[in-house]
Amino acid sequence: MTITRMFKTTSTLLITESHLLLPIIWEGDLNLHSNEPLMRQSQFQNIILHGDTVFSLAIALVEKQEVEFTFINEFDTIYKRSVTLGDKIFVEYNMIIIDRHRKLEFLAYKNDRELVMEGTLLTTSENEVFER
Amino acid sequence: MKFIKQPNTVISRTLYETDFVLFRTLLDSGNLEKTLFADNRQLVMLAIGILNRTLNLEEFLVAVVGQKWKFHRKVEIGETLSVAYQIQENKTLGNKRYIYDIKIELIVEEHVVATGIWGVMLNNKV
Repeated sequence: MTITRMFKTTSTLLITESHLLLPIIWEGDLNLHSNEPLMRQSQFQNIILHGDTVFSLAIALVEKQEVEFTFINEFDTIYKRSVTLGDKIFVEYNMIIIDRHRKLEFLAYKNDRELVMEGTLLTTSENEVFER
Repeated sequence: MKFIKQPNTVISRTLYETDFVLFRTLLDSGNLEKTLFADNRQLVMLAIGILNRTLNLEEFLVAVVGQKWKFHRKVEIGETLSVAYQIQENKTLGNKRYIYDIKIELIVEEHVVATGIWGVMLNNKV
């Protein structure tokens, strides 16, 4: 068994209008993502991206530096904050490689290190489905 | 943990190749080559999308607090997805804040291809 640990930081991603399309297209065109007048009056004070949209963007930042996770076997996330247009996000992560399996532990931040989310993700180097 | 609701729905969604390519483009993921299989991140978004067509949580949503997902087999481009779900009350935090676990099964042709828990905080009881 070989275990390799890495402690790395990704590049920064500026959140733009194009990212709003991710939840609008696949999760639903909700006020949260596209009704600016309403959201300015909300507790969030702006339209937001949150949850699995930020998860997808965060993992994409890691993929750019590591390897494409073609098949994610499982993931577990805890969300702390939302993001909005103009925010800059980045990820700190450890990649633990045990034989053919990869475990990604990560923290996603916005702007001046405000924690947005944390989580773990399991995949395999051959993009296999885990037999459980 | 209190069982709340288990709706039956006929709402389904076919996953198109264009879904995959557009998803990867919006993530600025370099590899746009044709693929046979879905990106599991996108499957979760599709599952939430189907759920949102059956249940309007937006009015009461304070925050999404977390998710746990396991994927049991690869989903092919062209397959049609549906969901079954249960809403379970997890915790009352006070000050009109309630945590619910929405347990979701993602289904292709009666086979469960992924299972997940979507944790949400609402400002009202379901």
